[in-house]
Formats: sequence, structure tokens, C-alpha cells
Amino acid sequence: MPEEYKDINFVPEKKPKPGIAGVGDNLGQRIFQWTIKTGKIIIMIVEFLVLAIFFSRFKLNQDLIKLKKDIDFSAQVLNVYQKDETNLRNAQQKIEKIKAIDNSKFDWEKQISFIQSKVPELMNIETLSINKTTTEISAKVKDASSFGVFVRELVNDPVITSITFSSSRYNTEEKEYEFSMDITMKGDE
Amino acid sequence: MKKDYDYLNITLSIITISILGAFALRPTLVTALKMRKDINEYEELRNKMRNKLLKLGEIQTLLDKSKSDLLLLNELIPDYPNEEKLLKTINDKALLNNVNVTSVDYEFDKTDTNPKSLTVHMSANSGYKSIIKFIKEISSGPRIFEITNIELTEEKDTKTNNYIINMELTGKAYYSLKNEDD
Repeated sequence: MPEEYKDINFVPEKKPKPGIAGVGDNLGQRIFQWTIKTGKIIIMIVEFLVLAIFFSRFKLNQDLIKLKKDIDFSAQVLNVYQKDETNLRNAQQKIEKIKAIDNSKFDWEKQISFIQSKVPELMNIETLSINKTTTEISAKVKDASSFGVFVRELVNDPVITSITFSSSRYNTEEKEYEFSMDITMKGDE
Repeated sequence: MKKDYDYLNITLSIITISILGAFALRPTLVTALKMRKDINEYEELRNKMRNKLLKLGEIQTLLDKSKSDLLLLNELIPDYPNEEKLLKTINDKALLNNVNVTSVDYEFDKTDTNPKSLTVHMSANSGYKSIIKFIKEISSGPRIFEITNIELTEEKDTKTNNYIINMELTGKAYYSLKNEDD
């Protein structure tokens, strides 16, 4: 036998097969490796989060039920008090109306007496119409001087702000002046 | 080789997180957030109701304290038209002042305002002084009566040969309409 001899290996040499990203035959093994290391951790974290949120829903649900009960109870009490609220609103509206009426109070007696005081002897008022803004007079007067006195009285009175004659005529049959006038006074405007 | 392995790790992690996030985390999270939102809205509503209850408590105290004032207020402006009572008051005051009331017409307020007005058109006649006194008394209560227009016409009574005053008066009384359930 020769002193030196070489081992001869008849088994064919394995060559790596080309695969994904060049990982080759180790892909399955590497996915398995990832699964038991990183994948496991990811799944555990997600499970933990899902469970934590799931259990927190019980607490949220309980809070929600409690709030609904509170609201229902408050609504019932509010219904009982509703009448008082309506009464107060009603009273407030009445007070506001009374205040408004009081602010625009008008002394009718004074107004009529004022006009009456200006009427001379020979003048006869046929119609006296008074509202809060104007006073309308329809009258007959026997002589021109009485008519003049009446007009002068009105013109000289500082309370009167305007006099407008709406009609004026001399009735020859009755021998008298017939006229209609609108008077506006201070505070009426 | 190491770099390839890292790429694989990252890809797998991203895919896993995305799938779990979309199908496991998201629905649970959406439900929980919706409940949280509902709770916030209910809390806001409950606080508003509590505040209103506090105010209503104050209102009740106020109403209890001012019962006598409210009675007076209801006389000035009643809670229903009560035109019969108003007519009776007019008639009583007319009789008292020797005024002859010939007609009274009512006109009801059809607007949505509150208090509502009850317009009264009245015709009456009497002597000058009686008419003046009647005007003064009719607007002095107990129910509010706001005169809006007066028209006086002088006429000679053929029987007595005296002058009488014909009066056309328009005025407003007020009434309040409460809710139907009151």
C-alpha cells in the first residue's frame, strides 16, 4: 500500500438554490426563527392591548349606564319643576308688559281738560278724537274773533308743537266757521 | 446574508403588525373610543341638567317668596281672557258714574305674543263730567286697561234739551296664555 493516499468523497456536493433575497434554502428556517422570537412578542403585545381595551370597555359601559341613570333621574326632577319655570317666565313677561304700559302712560283726563280750557265761549266742539300721538278736533265757531282767539291760544302754548288744519269753511246758511284740525303736543311725538 | 435576514425580519414584522392592527386592534379601539365619546356627551348633558336644576330650585324659592306679588300680577294681567269679568267691571264703573254703555265689542289677539291683548271697542254716553270720571276710573284697575283712542262727540238731547257726550273708546286689556299642560 502506498504511504500516502487521499480520501475520495463520492457524495455530490450540495449547492445552495437561488431563492427570495438570496436567502435560499434557509427561508423556512428563518421565518420559523422570526416567528418564535419577534413574531411571538408582537402577537403577545397585540393580545395584551386588545385584552386591556376589551376589559376597559366594561368600566366604560358601567360609567355610561350610571350617567344614563343620572340623566333620567334629573329629567324626571326637571319635569316636576317645569311648571315653576313656566310660571316664572309668564310672570317676567307680564312684568315687562306692565313696565312698557307704565312708561307710555298717557293722561287722558289732562289732555281733554287741556283742550277744553282753550275753547272760547262761542265755539262748539263737535268731535274730539284723542290718541297717544295726535288730537283731532272738529268744531264750529260763531264768529271769527272766537276762532282767532282759539288759534292764538293754541299757537302761544309752548306745549303744542304743531297745528294742522285739515278742513276749514264758512257755512253761509248757519253763519259759522266749520273746521277740523290736528294738534301735536310735546311728549306726543 | 445578515442584511438579507434583517430585511426579512422587518418585512414580516410590518405585515404582522398591519394585519393584527386592522383586524384585532382597530375594532376594539373604535368601540372603546365611541363609548368614551358618548360618555363625554352624557357628562356634558348631566352637568347642564344639574345647573338647570340648581336654577329651578332658586326659581321655586323666588316664587314661594313672591306669592302675594304674583296674585296681584294675576289680577293686573290674568292667565285667561276673562272678558266676562272685564265687562262686569266696565258696567259697574259705568253705573257708578251714571254713564250709559250702549255697546262693547271684543277683539282677540291672534298673534303669538305673550301677554296677548284683548281689544275693547266701547260706545257710551253721558254728561261731560261723568264721562271724564268714567275714563279715569276704567283705566285705574284692578285689571290693566290701556286706553288707545277716545272720540268724544257732543249731541243735544231733544228731550231734556241738555248736551250729552257720545264717547267711542278703544282700549286694550291683557291676558296671558300658559302652556296647555298647566
